[in-house]
Amino acid sequence: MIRKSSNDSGLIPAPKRRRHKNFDVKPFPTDCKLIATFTGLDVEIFDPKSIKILGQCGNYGNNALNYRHRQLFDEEKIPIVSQNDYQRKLRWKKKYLDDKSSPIEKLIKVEEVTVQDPFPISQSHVLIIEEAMFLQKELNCLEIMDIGGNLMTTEDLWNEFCDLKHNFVECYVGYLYLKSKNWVIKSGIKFGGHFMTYKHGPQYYHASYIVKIVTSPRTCNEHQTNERIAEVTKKTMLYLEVYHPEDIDSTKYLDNLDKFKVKEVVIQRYDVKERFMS
Amino acid sequence: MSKIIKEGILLNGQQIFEANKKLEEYSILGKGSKEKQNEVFTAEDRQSDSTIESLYNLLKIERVYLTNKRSKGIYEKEKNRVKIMSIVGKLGVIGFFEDEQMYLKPHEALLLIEMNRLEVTYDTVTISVEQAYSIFLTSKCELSLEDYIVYSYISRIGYIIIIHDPEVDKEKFKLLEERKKVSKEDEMIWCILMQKLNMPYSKETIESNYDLYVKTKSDMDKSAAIISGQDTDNDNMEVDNAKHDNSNEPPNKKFKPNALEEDNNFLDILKTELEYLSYRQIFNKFSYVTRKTFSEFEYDKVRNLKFTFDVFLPKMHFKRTEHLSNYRIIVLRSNEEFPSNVELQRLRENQSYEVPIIIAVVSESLSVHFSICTFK
Repeated sequence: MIRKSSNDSGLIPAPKRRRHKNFDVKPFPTDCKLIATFTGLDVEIFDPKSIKILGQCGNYGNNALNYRHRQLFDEEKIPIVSQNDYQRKLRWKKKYLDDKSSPIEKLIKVEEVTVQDPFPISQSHVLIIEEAMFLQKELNCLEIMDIGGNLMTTEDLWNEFCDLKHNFVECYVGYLYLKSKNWVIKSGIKFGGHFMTYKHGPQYYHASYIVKIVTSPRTCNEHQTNERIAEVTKKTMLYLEVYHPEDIDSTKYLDNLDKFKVKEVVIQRYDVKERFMS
Repeated sequence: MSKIIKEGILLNGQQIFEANKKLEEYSILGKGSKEKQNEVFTAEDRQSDSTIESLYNLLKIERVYLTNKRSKGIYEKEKNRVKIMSIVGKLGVIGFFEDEQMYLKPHEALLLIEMNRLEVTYDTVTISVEQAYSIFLTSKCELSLEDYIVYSYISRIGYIIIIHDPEVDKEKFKLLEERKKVSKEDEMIWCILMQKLNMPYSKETIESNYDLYVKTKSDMDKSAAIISGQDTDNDNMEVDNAKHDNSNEPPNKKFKPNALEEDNNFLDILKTELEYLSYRQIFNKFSYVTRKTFSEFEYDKVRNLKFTFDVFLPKMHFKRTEHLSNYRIIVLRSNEEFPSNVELQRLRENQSYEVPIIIAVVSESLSVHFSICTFK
């Protein structure tokens, strides 16, 4: 049993088994200016300090590397590398780097001997486009450059993101609505939704809702598929319907976001037989 | 019992016993254990063969029933109902009366026939289960096949299920409200008396109107003191202490946090967290996307879905005219569109009193899937 819900409908977030005591949760990065790059597909951050701030304050973004590789970038610890990995790094250095260029100085431990990392790899932190828009537009703590290194304005970003994702406007409105209610939001691609919502963050609580932004009517079969996934993973399916403002042209949505309306409904599987027996 | 039992011949006790005993010998595996690997398909084949064989053997045995164990009825085609001629045992919350004669609706008769509790004749011919399906679920009838599947599923579990009628529902609710208004104070006095006598009493009545409870109790204590001739000051002190302890609030509402606003729902539970309160100003900056209110919905552009059934929890002395339903059900086919928020909201508002809405989706293979909606 991964998740225990204390209420009938299962709408209260379930904490993870490893309890964190006295943790300090910050919902936003404040008093800082972070720099990111829009690659044309997503928004990435390469600066280790910015990545740390985003991780600690609000759990924004997703690290492209897995847990084992993420250890390599912990500043406080010297990462341990196996002999095979060290040899591979040496080969890469010969192949790809010149002798003169030594970009970053970093130490690694190979069989308890501390040596210079021959081929340091820089990590990247990927923000989903709604997160990037939110940090840039609402909190004003993120500056986004294009690949050429030019600073992008909010309008530029809005146009780029609208081209990238057909339902970006609805998703962003849904994101804002949930964010204003103090939920930590992550991508819901793994569970067939648009977003996942967490209390405080994925390290403290299991995801509570699989959020689906609804724009067109759905069939009963489609709904059953979503519901079954949510039930098996012990989460709740949340449908967010976004209502567009009337008499406003779609090109002017950026200035009229406050006129959008949202309505939510939770539909859960109901085992009539089980309820009756209990 | 290999001999064929001829029709119209009465069986003796031993023959009936043997016929029924043979039936009990066979038991079919409802759920076979699943073999997970492809290599052992022979074992799986063997298992399915034996299941088919046992099913065949079970169907081969002649059924022997006592005809006087079933109720009897006559199908009246013109009025599309079944007239009950004799009742055996209890049939449950079913049927209706007209001129002191009991009648069944087609779907109720069909369920009883399926459960072997009723024998219906149509022009002196007894209707079989198969014939009953084709006669009782026609387009003239109130319920379609999908509706009947939901009806039979829920009533077999044990719930009481009745076709939804909004007008009856409204009247029932009105009557109950009126009854509550008239006897509120009387009911409270009875509650306090029962409480004093350590007899069972309704806690709901006290919790729902705690101010009235405190007032009535202090009045009753005063008059009790006057009647018994005791010193009234001490008693007053006790009542005051009780007031102070409970701070005039119902027991269940005492520890509820009052930080949330009225419009808030299940998504707003994190607004009471520390980080929200300390960063409230920043949160307010981007909290401009709001929830659509009831009045803003455009109901004219959406389908008008209707409830099919009212479901009640089983009770000892259940009365259709008094008890309020516990759930309402809408029945959909799996190829239909799932109801949108607006449609569900419309359904919710059309209720005379609010109960949870259950959506029953019936697939083409006639399996049923139930979902429940949460708005708050």
